Amino acid sequence: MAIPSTGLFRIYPANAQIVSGNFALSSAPKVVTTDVAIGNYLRSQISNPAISPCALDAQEVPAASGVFVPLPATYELLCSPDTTAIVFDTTGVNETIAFLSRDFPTGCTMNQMRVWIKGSIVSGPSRNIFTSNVKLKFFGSTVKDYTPVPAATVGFLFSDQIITFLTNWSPIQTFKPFGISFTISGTLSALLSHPQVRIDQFYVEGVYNTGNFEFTLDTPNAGPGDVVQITDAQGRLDTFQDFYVYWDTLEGEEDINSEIPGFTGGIIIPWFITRTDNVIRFVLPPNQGLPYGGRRLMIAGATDGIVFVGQIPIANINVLLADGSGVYQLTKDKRNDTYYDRSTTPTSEIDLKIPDPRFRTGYF
Amino acid sequence: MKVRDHNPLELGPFNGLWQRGDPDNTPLDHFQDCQNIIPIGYDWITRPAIGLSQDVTAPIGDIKRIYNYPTQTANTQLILIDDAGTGKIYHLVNSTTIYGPILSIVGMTDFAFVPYAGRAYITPFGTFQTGDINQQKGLDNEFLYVYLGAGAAARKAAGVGPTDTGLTIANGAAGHTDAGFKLFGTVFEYNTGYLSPVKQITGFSTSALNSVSFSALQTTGDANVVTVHLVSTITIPAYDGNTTGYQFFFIPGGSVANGTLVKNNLSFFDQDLVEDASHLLDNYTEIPAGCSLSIYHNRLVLTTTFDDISICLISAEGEPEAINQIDGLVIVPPDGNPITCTQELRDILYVGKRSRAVSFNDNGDVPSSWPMTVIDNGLGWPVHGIATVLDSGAASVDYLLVATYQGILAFNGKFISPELTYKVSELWSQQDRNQFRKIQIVNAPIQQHIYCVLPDARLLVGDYSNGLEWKKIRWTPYNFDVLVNSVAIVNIDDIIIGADNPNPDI
Repeated sequence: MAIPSTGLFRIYPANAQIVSGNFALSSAPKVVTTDVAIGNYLRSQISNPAISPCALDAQEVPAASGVFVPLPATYELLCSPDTTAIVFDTTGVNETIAFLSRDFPTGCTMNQMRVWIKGSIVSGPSRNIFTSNVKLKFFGSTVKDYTPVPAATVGFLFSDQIITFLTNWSPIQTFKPFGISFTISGTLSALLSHPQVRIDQFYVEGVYNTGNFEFTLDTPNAGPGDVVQITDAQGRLDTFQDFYVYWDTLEGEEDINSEIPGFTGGIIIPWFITRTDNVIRFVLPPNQGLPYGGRRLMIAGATDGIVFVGQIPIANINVLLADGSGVYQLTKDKRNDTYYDRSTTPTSEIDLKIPDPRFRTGYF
Repeated sequence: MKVRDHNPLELGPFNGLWQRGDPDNTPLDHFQDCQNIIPIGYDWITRPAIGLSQDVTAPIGDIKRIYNYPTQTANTQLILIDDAGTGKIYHLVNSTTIYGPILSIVGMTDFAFVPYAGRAYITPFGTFQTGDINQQKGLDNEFLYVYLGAGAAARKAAGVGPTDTGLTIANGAAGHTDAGFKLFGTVFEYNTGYLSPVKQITGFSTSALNSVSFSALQTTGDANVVTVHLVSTITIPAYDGNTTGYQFFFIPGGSVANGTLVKNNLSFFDQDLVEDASHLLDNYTEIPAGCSLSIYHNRLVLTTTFDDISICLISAEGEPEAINQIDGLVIVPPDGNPITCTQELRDILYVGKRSRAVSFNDNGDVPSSWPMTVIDNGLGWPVHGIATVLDSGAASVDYLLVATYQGILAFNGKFISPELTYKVSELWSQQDRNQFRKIQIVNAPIQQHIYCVLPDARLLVGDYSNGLEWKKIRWTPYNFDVLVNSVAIVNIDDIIIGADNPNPDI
């Protein structure tokens, strides 16, 4: 065991006990579910081990220079489970394909969100797709202007540039639908009809603020010198920067440092015996004069933000239909929602599952 | 300790969502989180799904507002959509029949509606920003409209009446009148029963032994005018030249169909003149648009015009389009906030602002004489914040359900605390107050459900089968793959949802 050159150091009694427990987030994130509706094409992409992830090749990582931070190699892209692409037909000029998402955790404030889309616009052989003024836009802002268009373009790749950095979400946008949209605009060749937009990979990364995560020790009489072990089979412990210990405030006592109601204390854990994504072990520090012994302890993990990616379990993302507006009726004993599908002519209907019926109780 | 010594812990029954601060403080008989489920007895099942309400080739979209519109023959809906900045109202009769647009107005983002005698009274309004606060009020240079329900376009309510030319009056055949000078005039009657102001006021001295004959009656090509009525004063001993300073009465038998220019040989005594027509003199010929409509004591109540945000215009009893410009109004003390909406409950007219509520009591006299009582200086409601019940479009019999900044409360003349949404107070407080105009509530007493459209485009559903009190009501939010912005109830217990285009900014 390496002893750090700085930090707290004490000799503890030899009979110090080991206290252990399983880590449980007080605000348990949920598995990401994205239902992507693109025109009349609906895919369900569920983040779970049953889907083989697509590894992010080193060449595909955005360069360190510029405004983007390279992805750590441990993150992976989410891919379609059985095809290599999502393909939808467009009418051509100024087509808007919209992905909308909401249902982020309650109280969550989005700091930033980054989107990668790798794909292409394809058409029949030996045809120019656009003759001029081709632009790719996110939320109406041009991120890439391909004017002039290369001659005799059969396939039109946008894999290397379709990156945008969305920042400064205003509070009202947590209640509005928000998400990712891109518009492909340009002047169509007269010989062309129905170019296809193909998305090979779709990846979202962002940062949001949440509160602290808390874990109450099973052993109520833990004290200084005892070793605490916290485990997480899903390897999420690396997302926390600091850990603090709090003590249960008994009746009649005043909360000291009352960030957590009913608990007092808030002493940071200065160093760790073991610290990995799955296991943390540390020694409970001295209580510095605060009440100790015979009380419940709470270990709180603090972070400035949870980084989420497509495959790490986070809050539920519900992607909406591009335009399912209309008049509907709640129908008893009906088991799936039916919406207007205005991407077809004439308007047709589409059946979708009821979005994630769920409940969570206070029981563990 | 052996397993057999453990006491079993029975899970449930669960009483819906609890969202008040720290999730760890959630009572064990409530959910920390839930969506798209509904209680059946003590169990919970997936919510009922939604289906298409229209079965036509081109169903309408971009829904902004839906109202239940009970006509004389069916339960139908009025629907506002947005068409590139123009608000268009359609009349959805059934799944295969839709009329309209019956009204198209640029800038109409919402509308108020009240049914009366099978007709629909409609007023367009919009949202205007004052500082950081969004306020709803009637559109400038717009008006109250009336729709007859048969598919023809809505028209402006009230009417200008006859062109003010002079009448030609002469003694008729042998008959009888009280001899002396009188003032005569004409009144148009419209197909909604509206009576216009008196025009064509002309003086004439009648003879005791002769009837009176009239010609040069005004006529109009407006098909909405059905009848022309002749009116008269009683004999005026000393006429002072003030044509509107005398009381007018309808002459018995003095009515002709629109298009008839002559009425001859009318005989009447002064004592035969009993039906007053003077109240028509100062009526609005076109009623300015407001942001709310209701019925109180058989009077139409319209509030919050573009220029006067603290005034309620109130019609004559039984005449929804007859609003007197002088005494047909009540004023809520101005405080910079507009009136949001009004509702009658137990013979009292309750008038709300966003954080204030007052009441007016009909004393039998003109509205401007009605006394005002302050109900609450802290709680009010938004423009659609009073729940409609069943498909009546009205409030419950002895209480209202209102949406306030505090939550959804029962109101029986005072706000009943704690609020019904006590358990989900955090969910309610997270809603954007500047978007509270999107809140619309229906109370379905057959299912014992409350449906509330939230500003975040979800539907908050409350099951009160165990009792309509905060402890027993079970809340759960409904999510859809579309954004809900309107809810209505038709045919007693059919819940209709209006969904907007989700990406108007993209």
